[in-house]
This record gives sequence, structure tokens and C-alpha cells, in this order.
Amino acid sequence: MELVAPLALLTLLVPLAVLVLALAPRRPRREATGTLEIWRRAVQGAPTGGSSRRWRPPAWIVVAAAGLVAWSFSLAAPRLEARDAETYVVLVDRRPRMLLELEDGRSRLDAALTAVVELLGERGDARVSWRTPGADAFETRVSDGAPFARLAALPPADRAPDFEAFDERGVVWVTCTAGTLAPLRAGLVTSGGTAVRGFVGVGPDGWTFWDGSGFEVREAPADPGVVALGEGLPELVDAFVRAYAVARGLGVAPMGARSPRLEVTASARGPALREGARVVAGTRPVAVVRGGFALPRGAVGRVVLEAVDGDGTRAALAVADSGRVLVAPCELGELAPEDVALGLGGVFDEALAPDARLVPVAGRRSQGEPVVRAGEPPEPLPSPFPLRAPLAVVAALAFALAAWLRGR
Amino acid sequence: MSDERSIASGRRAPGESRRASTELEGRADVRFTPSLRRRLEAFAARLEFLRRRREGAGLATLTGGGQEWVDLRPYREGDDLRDLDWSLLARSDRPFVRVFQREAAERWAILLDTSASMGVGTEGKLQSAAEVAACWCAVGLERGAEVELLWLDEDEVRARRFTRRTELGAALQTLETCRATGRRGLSALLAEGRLAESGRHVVLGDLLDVEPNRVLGWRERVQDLVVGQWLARVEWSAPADGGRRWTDPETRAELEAPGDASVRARYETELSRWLEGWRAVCGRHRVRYGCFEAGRPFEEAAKVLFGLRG
Repeated sequence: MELVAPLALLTLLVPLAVLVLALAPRRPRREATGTLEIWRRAVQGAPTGGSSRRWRPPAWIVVAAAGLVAWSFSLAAPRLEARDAETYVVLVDRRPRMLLELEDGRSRLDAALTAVVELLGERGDARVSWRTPGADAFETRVSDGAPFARLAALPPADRAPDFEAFDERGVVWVTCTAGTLAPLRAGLVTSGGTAVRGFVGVGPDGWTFWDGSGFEVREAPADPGVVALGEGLPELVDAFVRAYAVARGLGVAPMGARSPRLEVTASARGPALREGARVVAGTRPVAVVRGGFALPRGAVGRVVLEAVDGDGTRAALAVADSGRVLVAPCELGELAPEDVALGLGGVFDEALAPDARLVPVAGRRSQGEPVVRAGEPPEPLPSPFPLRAPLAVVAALAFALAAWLRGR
Repeated sequence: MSDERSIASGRRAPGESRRASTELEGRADVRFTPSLRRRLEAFAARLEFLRRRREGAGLATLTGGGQEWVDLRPYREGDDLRDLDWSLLARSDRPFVRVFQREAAERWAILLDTSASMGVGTEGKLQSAAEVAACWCAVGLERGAEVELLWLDEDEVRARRFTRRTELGAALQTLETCRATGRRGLSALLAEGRLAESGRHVVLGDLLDVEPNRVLGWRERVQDLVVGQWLARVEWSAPADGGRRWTDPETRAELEAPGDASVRARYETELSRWLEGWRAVCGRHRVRYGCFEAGRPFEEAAKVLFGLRG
């Protein structure tokens, strides 16, 4: 509920004053009489001072005060809303090119996020649903600012969002250059940026370096990145990930490391697994289920490990997306190490996020000037339901009732 | 010819008693509007007309008891047997009574209570009593009586005598100077020895500061005694809208009375008992008595006090 004229609530002082005056101990009215002696005889035996102690505000005053309260709220023009704000959907390009720096030291991603928050801020404190490949969508308010840290902590995405699939009102595309993007209904925010020299590819003899005009082969840099391991992983998966990291020259770090190449995390509990079900990696059986739970329904990513019952029922045990693998809290047994290595190794290679230092030449070239284009706003909110008239009716009824009570 | 004299003194500090009656809501003054004067004259004329037709038991006292015999007329029920002409009855076997014209020297004393309690209520107890006093002045002067008006000014007894019919205006002006102030009331007026010179006493006030026997003590020494009592609306019935801190405007005494229905009922019972006491004792002594609510037309009270029927 919101108030169109909240200052009108100051009129609540009126019923407050009425009630305070009504509830205050009343001193009897002073009045002259010539028959004081007769009163003295009449009062004999009556409790002294009882007039002020026993006095209670008449019902009509209480009802009238309630009417005044309703009248005050009516003046404040309250209204009910189905939602409290519009919701925008922001699709964020998090490819490594977005991590390149601008001349002012900010990354292209940071500059674009700043611009989109400023754009949305013009329409009030709207809700923003942030969506990017390789991560679950999450929601913030415009007033919360851009989620720089949260997006920067994710592994770089290996692909851009599917912008064209979301050319709708209330959607904003965020990338570094407009290029061929031509949204009809969605908004577009680009960071722009000058050309940035650096590695553009990996060759058999080293990494290819682009210096702005030509290419040269340089020695591959050390520190190929880390794999971030979450808590509660099945032993099988945990052991395999560690072996995989060694084989690929990656380090292993706990969750929270900045820009890991791969995040392997345990999921929340989904449906319970049936013991003895076969665990399949791709088409290759790698283990059997000892217990635990499958992934919750709706887990996003490509299923890389699943449990298959005797009747053919399948339950996902692990899904992979750009830079992350989500694993169900399950217990596996009767391992076939070779099959596990073959089954999961390829999946992990596919899920491995790109090295942020490797950006194609197209991404390293100048991205032009920043673009900020507001698309169509989200669907309008349902009309707020005004409460002014109902409250005015309540106030009128209360006044009528008070008048009736007083006259009775 | 009229004269005004200060008779007794029981002075308070100037302004004190006046303040007493004006602090609280009430009406302490007297005003005779032109329309009221016309009503007074009309009432006096009607009374004279009725007197000539000899209607109304109380009218007997307005004409009987005088010293100058003027006529005979048939006896009617209610006539004083002392006026019966026994010799004529013996001769004609028909009862006749003598009709007298009062001597010019007959005096009426009109006592008007102007104590502070007469200022209670917005309706004006003093105004109502003064209107009836004016009525008695008009009738008395019309009948050739010497009318003496007694009242209190700042607790000092004042008296003014009117002897001619043309002095009615002066009498009304005098009444208009009256203010409901001071602590002394009818008891001070009734203590005046000069009252012995009058054959008729008209006592007008709220009777709150005087006992019946004090008033009736004059009954055997005067030919006629009339007692009119006025109470304010707030005194007639206890207010139902909560308790009150009652203040006596004369003594400044205060009393907090709760607004309970039981207390209100006890008050009204006590008041009725007190008023009934006055009515009973006046009835026993053949004193015309009436109790009235202030603010009502003066004709209502005057009819009762002059003994008019209907």
C-alpha cells in the first residue's frame, strides 16, 4: 500500500486530540446554584470524587474518533498495488572481452553495468533481474546499485547471452559493442572502449599475441587458473575434480576465488534417489547409487551425470554450464575409474570457462562509443486500487453512527 | 412623591459581591423592555377590570379591609364574612357585603430578594421576580395604595416609596437598578421594622436564605401576605450531563456532586420535599404562595399570586 498524499496523515492529530481530551480525567464543570444545601444533603452517602473516576468516554466519541481516523487516511489517498515496482530483465554479456579495461581503468563490464543502472534509475526504484550465461538469475533493486562484485566473481562466460531471443519490452541487453545487434523492443547498453592489445589464441608453440596491428607468438603465461570446489561434494566427484585439475595444470581453491575457470558445487536436495540405480556419464555407466538425493527440478545446465532406474526413470545428478558444474548430494559406489575419467573429463573440458586472458581479435579491437538506448518499458503495473472512496464511506458511516448514538 | 433611603448596612468590600455573581454563568440584572411594559400595563388593566367584576378569590383582599365604604354587592363564595352587612341580611334575608375603597394611607411593602443567588441561571431569577414586583407596583398604585419597594444594594437595604399612579415609571426604573449581588437576602429585608407600617407584604425571591417562620412571622400583623418563589432551571432539575462542582454565589462554598442518577434523584427528592414544606406552611397560614421557574412569562406567576382563576 502506498499513500499519494502522506502529509494528510497529519490530520490524525485531530482524532488523537479528540481521544486525548475524551480520555483525560474530566474535572466536573463549575456552576453556580442557590440550592447548595440541598445538593449537600443529596450527595451525603455518595462516593466522593466518583464523578471523575467513573467517567468513560461515550461510545459516540469513540466512534466519531474512529471516523476521523478513517477520514484522515482517506485524505492521504492510500492505494493498493499488485506489485510494488516494475521488473526489468538485464542480459549481461560476460565474455572475457567484457573484462578488458577502458582508459579510465574500469572494465568494460563495470562501465556497462554503471550505465544500465543509471538508465533504469530514471524510472524509479525498479526491480532488476540479472541474467547471464553460466549463472543463476538473481534479482536486485535499482537502488542497490550494479552487482559488480557478484558478476565479477563468476567464471567468464564462453558465450554471449542469446540476445535475440529476448527482444522484449522491459529487457535490456548489456554488451561491449552494438555490432549487429539491433533490438526492436529491448534496450541496449554498450560499454564501447578502445582497442586493447593481448593474447588472442593458443598455438602449438605458445600463445598468439596481438599488438594492435600484427601477431606474434609468445610463451604461454603461467597461472592457468583455478577450479573452485564447493562443500559437500560426493567423494567420487571431489576426487575426480582434484585429479582433473592436476591433469589440466589448474589449481584448486575453495569457493569465492575470483574468476575461477570452473566452479564445482553441491546442489540442494532434490528427489530422493533409489539405491542401486545406474549412474551414467553421457552414455557410459560409471557407478551405482548408494543413496542421497538427485538435483532439484529446474537445475539449469547440460546434464552430465544421471541416475537410471531399472524402469528407465532418470534423475539428474550433475549439470554443467559455462564455468560451473552442479552436483547432487548423493553417494555413489562400485566405481569404474577409467569410465569416470572418460565420462566426466570431456564434460569438464566443455564446461571449463575460457581463460580471461584470451580474447579474440574482434573483442580486442575498438568497440566504438558507448551506447545507451532505452527500450520499451516493462508491462505496465496493474492500476493501483484506490482506497480513498471506501475509507470516505467508512468515515461517513462512522459519523452517522456517532450522531445516532449521541441522539439516542 | 417618592423617596429612597438606605436603612441598614452590612457592607462587604465594594465589587466583591458583584464579582461573585458574574464569575459564573448567570443573569444578575433587570431590564424592562417596551413590550414588557405594555404587557404589565395590560395585565394591570385586566386585573382592575376583574376587580370591578369582583372575580377571583384573591381580589377580595385587594378591595376588602379598607376603611372607606363605597358600595354593597351580593355575597359570593369566598368573601370575607367580616364584610357581611348583617343588618341588611336581617332586613332583606339576602346576604350583601360591603365594598370598601382603601384609604390613601394604605401601604404595600414589596420585598425583592437581590442576593447573589438570584443571579443563578441564564434565565434570570431576579428578572422574573422583578417583573412580578413591577406588576404589584402597577396594581397598588392603580388602587391608590402607597407602595414601598425594598431591596438590597451591596448588602445594604434600600427602600423607595411610591404614592402616585404616575410614579409607575419611576418604580420600574428603580427595579432596573437592582442587581443580584451580595450575601444578604430576604432575611435582611424581613428584619426591617418599617414593615409594620404596611398592611400587605409581597415577598419575592428564591427563599433560599430564609425560613418559612421568618416570613410567616408577619402573617398575624398584616392583612395580606403573598410569597413568590423563583428557581433557575439548573436548580429545578439536576443536570444529567455529568457531575458538577456547585458553587454557592453568596458564600462561595463549593461542593462536588457526581453525575450519578441516584444522586440526581436524591436531589430532586430533597428539593420537592423542601418546596412542599413551603407550600404546606403557607397553605396553613392562608398565605398565597407560588413557586415558579425563572424565565417563564410573568403573567403565569402573577395569576397565581394575585389569586386569579384560570
